[in-house]
Formats: sequence, structure tokens, C-alpha cells
Amino acid sequence: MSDLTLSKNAPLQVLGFWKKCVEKAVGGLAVLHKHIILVLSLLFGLCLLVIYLHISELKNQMVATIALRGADVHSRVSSEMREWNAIEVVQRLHALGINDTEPYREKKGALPLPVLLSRNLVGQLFSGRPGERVRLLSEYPFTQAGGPGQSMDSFQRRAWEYLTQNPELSFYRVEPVDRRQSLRFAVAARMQQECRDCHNENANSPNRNWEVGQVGGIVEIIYPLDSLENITGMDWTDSYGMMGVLVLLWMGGFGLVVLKLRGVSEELEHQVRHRTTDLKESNRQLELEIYERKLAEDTIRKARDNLEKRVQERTGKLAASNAELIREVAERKRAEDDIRSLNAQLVQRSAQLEASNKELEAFSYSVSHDLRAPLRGIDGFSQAVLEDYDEKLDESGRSYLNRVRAASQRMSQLIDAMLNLARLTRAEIHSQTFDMSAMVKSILEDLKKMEPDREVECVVADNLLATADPQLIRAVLENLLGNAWKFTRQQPNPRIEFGHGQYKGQAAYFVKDNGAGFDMNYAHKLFGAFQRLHAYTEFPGVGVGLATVHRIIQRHGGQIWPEGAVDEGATFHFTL
Amino acid sequence: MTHKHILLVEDHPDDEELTMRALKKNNIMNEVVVARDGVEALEYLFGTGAHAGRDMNIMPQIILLDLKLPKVDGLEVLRRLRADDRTKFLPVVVLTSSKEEQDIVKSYQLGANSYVRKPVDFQEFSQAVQNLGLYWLILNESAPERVPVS
Repeated sequence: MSDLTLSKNAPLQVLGFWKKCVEKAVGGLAVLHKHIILVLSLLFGLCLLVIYLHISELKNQMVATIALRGADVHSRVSSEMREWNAIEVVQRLHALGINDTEPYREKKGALPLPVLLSRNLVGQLFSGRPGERVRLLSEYPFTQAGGPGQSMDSFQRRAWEYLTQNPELSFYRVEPVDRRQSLRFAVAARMQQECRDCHNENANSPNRNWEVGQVGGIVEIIYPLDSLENITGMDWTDSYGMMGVLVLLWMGGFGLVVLKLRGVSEELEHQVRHRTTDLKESNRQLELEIYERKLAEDTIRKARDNLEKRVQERTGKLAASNAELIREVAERKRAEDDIRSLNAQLVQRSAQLEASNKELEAFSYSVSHDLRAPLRGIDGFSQAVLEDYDEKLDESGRSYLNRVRAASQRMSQLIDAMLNLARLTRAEIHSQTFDMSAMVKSILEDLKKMEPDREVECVVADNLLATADPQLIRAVLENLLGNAWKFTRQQPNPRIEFGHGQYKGQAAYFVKDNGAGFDMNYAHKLFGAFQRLHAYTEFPGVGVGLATVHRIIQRHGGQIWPEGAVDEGATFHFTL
Repeated sequence: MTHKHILLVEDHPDDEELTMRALKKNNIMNEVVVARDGVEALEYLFGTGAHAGRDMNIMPQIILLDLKLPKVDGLEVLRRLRADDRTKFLPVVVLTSSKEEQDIVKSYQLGANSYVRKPVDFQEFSQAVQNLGLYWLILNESAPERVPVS
């Protein structure tokens, strides 16, 4: 189970690992980016180091190559010298009987051995150049030739092994020799035909089984490299100097660029800071504006909501009032129709009224002229009989004729009263303001003149003004005061009062007397035409006066109320 | 026919009689010419019809004119009378039963000299006639009889 889980989780773990790596790399890159100048400097230094190392390596290789070339040349010279000597010189001399042997300086007619000759030649070439050497090495050294003890160091052993295997090639190493770095170069010295015979024949030869081509020994050449370096040393110093100058120039340029960039960066930073401040400020302004806008929007939204609500309400109300209006219009129309029809009726009535008014007028006119004429006849001829036939009439005859005359005269009064009433019914009202108190006083004066013997106490309130038709009101007052005058006749202390006061909650004029009065049970009859509450013999009159008064007050839009009791006087209150 | 005669325009015989009686009772002896309707009155005044050829130099001293008359009423008689130069200055007293305002106003508008309502009481009537006679026949000075035709 656990294995399965592991195997299942494995890709995820790998993924996580890479992810971490990428994150770290990104983090590292970020850090690098932050210290870009330092990194650039480091990189530049690294480059310099690499270049320096490369040049050094190049130099070493060059030196080694030169050394190698030199060693090769010298080794060839040595080989060619040895072979040429062995073939061309030693053979000929052998024919002449001159042998090559060592030590040739000590032996007469002896020649140096080719090997040693070549070695010495090269050694001679190296003279004056300390450290440069040439050596011969072999497993079978020529001891008589004065060769060294032949103990080989590790290089020599390896060179021997290598060259015995590859005699055509060369073997070299660079290693310190006498504390100097040196090139150690070795080539094989193979046995030639001529050489082999000698070596195999010579009694001193350490080995007499040489074969042609066999490696008899190796030639080692040592070049201290520092001497070669000295040859090219000046050039390298120049190169390094140039490099140093280049580095300085580059660093100067880099520094200038950095300074410039820093200046630009500071300027930019300053601008950025400035801009940032500006931005912050404008941001703050914007925020403030946004806040204000929000507030305004809220307000507007609220106002709009409110408005909508109100519009809805108004619409509702309007609809309601519209319905109401429609209903009202319908009602109005109906009412107008009613009014129109009423108006038509009124016009008709008016016409009828006018017609009846005209009829009444004609009737009145006719009555005025025609009803009185017969009465004049009755009265006149009765009088004529009384005058002309006085001696033929007895007392009762005269009395009857007198009663005929009286009746006709009363009839005439009735006709006059009736005509007057009719006239008042249709008379036009010409209103004006006048002094009613003065009018009352004047009427009372007239009454007194008619009956100077009577003593009546008259109390008249002063300066009572009225706005009405003075002629018609005079008729009213004449009637009321006349009645008061008439009905106080039997009163020992008659008193008539005219004034103004409150009656039934209204400001009203009044005419009051302390005369015969009347029974309030018959008060409703007072204002009827030809209605009388007293016997004619007691108080004469035609019974039209109060009807006339009532009619005039009515036509002025006023009211009149009688108040009284039998033998306790009467009061008439009236408004206009 | 004297110069100072009276023209009584009255259709009703009772009133005519009573007027004559009142005049007589008040010793007014002037001649009275009675016209019983408006037409007759006009014929008399202008010397036409039944009165053609009448001496037109003689004109009544006073005309007592009733208003309610057959054919042509009193107001029309008054209007024509005042329209004619021969009669326009003749004193006219309207003597009638009514005291209708319209009658009174129209009478004066047409040039009546006086308006007297006939009282029902004969004694009052008689008194009125006496006063009229006294005033119009004695006190009042009439316009010249010959009125130049303009």
C-alpha cells in the first residue's frame, strides 16, 4: 500500500520540487535585478578572469609549442647527424681503417661514436643557454663511452616504455626540472644497419643482439620554459597593459554610465515621487469626488425615488380626481340641463308673469277709471236728492240717503287702497340712504296737524339711517305710525315709540304703541289684505294698511314681526 | 256763444250731469259745450265734421278733459290739440276718475295745464269744480285769442 501511495505521489513531489526551484530562481532573479550593477561588475570581473586565464593558457601553449618545435628540430638534427655520420662518415673511415671508438681523443686515429657526436653537437648548440640540456638514455648504456650511471626517473621510464612501443613518435611532458618549469622531450634512437653491425661486433658493446630498427636508446631534450617566456615576455606585458587600460576605460565608461543612469534614475525617482505625490493627491481628490458623487447619487436616487413615489401618488390622485371630475362634469351637465329646463320654465313663467302683470295693470287702470265713476254717480245723485227734494223726505229717508253716500265713499276708499296695494306690488324699488328718524318725525308732525287736539307722547330715536326706497318706506311708516296713532285713541296716556334694537337675534327697527293691541292668536291674520281685528265703528279702516306694509318689507328682502296683547299695545319689529 | 265758454269732454251722462250741477251750484254761468267723445271734441276744436263752419275765432276759455273716452281718448285729444297752433295754448284741465301715475305723467308730458281727480264725494267734487271755475275763468289770463300762424 505505502509503495503505491508513494508511487502515486511521486510525480506530484517532483512537480512541487520544480515549482520550488522555479520560485527560487525567480526570487534569485529578482535579487539579481535589484543589484544589477553589482552583478554586472561581478560578471565583468569574471569575464576578465576568464580572458586572463585564456590568454595565460594561450601563452603557455604557445611557449610549449615553441619549445616543442625547438626540441623537435634539435632532436632531428641529432638523429640526422647521427645517422649521416654512421652511414657516410663511419663506413668510409671504416674502409680506411679508422674506427670510431671512445675515448677518441685519447686514441690515435679514432673517431667519436656517432651517438655521442650527435649528443655533443646538440649539447654544443645549447652552450650559453643555461638549463637547456640533451641526454642519451638506454637500457644498455655504453659504459666505455663515459655514459651516465643510467638510473632513470619516472618521466624517462615512461618515455622509454612509450617510445619502445611507438618509435616513430615522440614523448613529452611539461614539469619542473631543477625548480624551473621545463619541457622534457624524448625521441627514440633506432638501430641502423651500419650501427647494428658495429654494436653487435664491438666487444665492449653491452648488447650484441641488436636488430635493425630496434630502439637502442632515447634522446631527451630539456628546455626551461621561462627562458622562452622571456623571449615573448615584453609582448605579454603590453597585452596585459592594454587589457588593463581597456579595463580602466571600460570601468570609467561604466562608472560614467552608472553615474548618468543614477542621475537619470534619481531624476526619474524624483519625478516618480513627485508624480506619486500628485497621483496620491489626485487620488485623494478623486476619492473625495467619488465620495461626493456617491453622496450626490444617493441624494439623487433618494430624490428620484421620492419623486417617483410622489408622481405615483399624484397620478393616483389625478386618476381619482379625474374620475371625480368626470362624475362632476356629468353632474354639472345634468345640473345644466336642469338649469336650462328650469330657465326655460322661468322664461315661460316670466312671460306668464309679465302677461298677468300687464293684465293686472290693465285691470287696475280699468278699476281706477270705471269702478269709481258709478260711485260718483251714487254719491252725487244721492246728494242731489237730498238737496233738491229735502222737503219731500222724512228723517229716515235722509238718513238712508246719507248711508248710501257713506257706503259709496267707503267703497271708493277700498278701491283706492286696493289700487295702491296693486301699484306697490309692481312698483320698482329705487334704493338710497336716508334718515328714517327724520321721516318718522315728519309723519308724526302730519298726524298731529290732522288732530291737533290729541296729546300723544312721541319718542323717536335719532339718526337712524336706512338704505331703501324712501317713498315705499314712507308708506310703511305712514301705515305703522298711522295705526299706532289710531289705536291709541282710547288710551289716556298715549305713547308712540320708534327705535332700533335686537329682535330674535337680528338688528331691527320697531314702532311701538301702548294702544289697543291685539290677540297674538290672530297675529297671522294681521298682514292679510282686507283683514281686520277691530270693528269698523271702533277703529275705522279698510284693512289694507298692514298688507301694504308687509308687501313693501317683503319686496325689500326684509321681515316684519308683530308683537302685542289685547289692551297692552302693539309693537312691529321690522328689518329691511 | 260767449268767448268765455267751457268745453266739457265727457262721455258719461252721469258725470256730465253732476258736472253741470256742480257748475250751476257754484254759480258758474258760462256756456258749456259738451263733447261726448274724443272725435267730437276734435271736430269742435278744429271746426270739422259736425262742427264744420263754426266760427273758429271763438275758442273755449277752459277745456275739462276726461281721459277715458270712446273712439279717441283724452290723451290723444290733448296731443293733437297741442300739435295745432290754433289750440296749442288753450288751457286744458284733465278731470278724470283715476289718479294713475302713468295718466298724470303723460298728461303733463303732453301739455296739460292741470290734473284734477274727480272725488267720489259730490261735495268735494263740487268744491273742486268751484275752485277750477274760479281759477281758470276768473283769475287766469288766457293767451291771446288770435295766434299768428307760424
